[in-house]
Amino acid sequence: MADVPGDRRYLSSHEWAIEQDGTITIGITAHAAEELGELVFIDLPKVGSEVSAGESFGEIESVKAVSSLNSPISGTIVEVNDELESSLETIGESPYEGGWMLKVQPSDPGEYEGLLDADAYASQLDG
Amino acid sequence: MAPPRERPLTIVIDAPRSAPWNMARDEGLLDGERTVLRRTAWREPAVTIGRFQPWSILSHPLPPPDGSPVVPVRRITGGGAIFHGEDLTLAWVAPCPSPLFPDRSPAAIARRAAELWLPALLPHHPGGRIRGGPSEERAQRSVVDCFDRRNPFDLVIEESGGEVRKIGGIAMHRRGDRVLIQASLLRSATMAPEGDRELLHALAAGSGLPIQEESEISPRELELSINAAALRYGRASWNRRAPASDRPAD
Repeated sequence: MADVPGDRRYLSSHEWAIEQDGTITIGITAHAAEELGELVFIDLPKVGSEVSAGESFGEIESVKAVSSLNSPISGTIVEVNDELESSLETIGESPYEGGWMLKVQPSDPGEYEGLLDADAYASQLDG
Repeated sequence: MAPPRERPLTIVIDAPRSAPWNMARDEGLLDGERTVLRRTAWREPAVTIGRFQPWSILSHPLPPPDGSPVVPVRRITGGGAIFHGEDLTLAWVAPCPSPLFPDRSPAAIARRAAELWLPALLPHHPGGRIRGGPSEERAQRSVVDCFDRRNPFDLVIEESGGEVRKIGGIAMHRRGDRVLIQASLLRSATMAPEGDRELLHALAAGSGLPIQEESEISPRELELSINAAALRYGRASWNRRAPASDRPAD
């Protein structure tokens, strides 16, 4: 289970979330990054925007395919990883660290506990 | 008990429509539930640009052959700009993963679409093949015209001088567990629009799914299309949107 860290939660659509000091950091999993292949463009929202659990917060292009990025939780964006736009390879090289995308102030902290844990997400990948 | 019947692939030979309405109908199909292969016809010549291409690329000469004005619109799919008017434009919408598209990775979807369609195109483009070779997506992103871009899953033919010519390209959008594939195929001398119905049936036959044909999208898909038109394709804020890097900071 090397590719599925146990310190965070997951969406079945391959986004992760981790709670740190009251904010939730969001990114995509190693599986998602590998599946996408060579990344070409990314469109992330601006600080201050609202995101909703399960809904698209941005889009990413790879191999002529644009894919929606879904938010695991609802809340207000407090920080965006602007460096990704010029270094998209970071998402594939470090999906759980340098490849983070958003930091969100959650509006419903209970949503985080309702996400998949690492075992459940890993089972989905194995299934 | 009989096994559940496989859901059919519905062919829609759509009437000519404006560029924004064509894009809206494709998105309505994506947000629907069916597997559909739609023939996209154009009421007037149009240019569609990729989701992340800058609007300014429209100054690049994408040639309407008779010099008539073209209607530009931004797609939700990736890839480069395409001049539509004389090509065969298709939209293929399906669940993914599914028996038709078992692997969600964009490369696998592109490969599968190319493999499914090539046999039906060979009578019209003898010698046609899938390009192959390495992916160079990042290196290709500044190439404006889809037909000037190289992708391993392009459909190509080798011309008499040995030059490889692209005859078909696709672009995709993955949303939830569905995928929209928009394709542009160069028409050969044997691919007159009057033969589109027969060709679409040949393209669909590779899917192995039961095939049905309808002349219209469903009322629900139409409703979703109207929403998409209002949200995107009828708005300058969508069509002319700048890449994030070019947008002013808040």
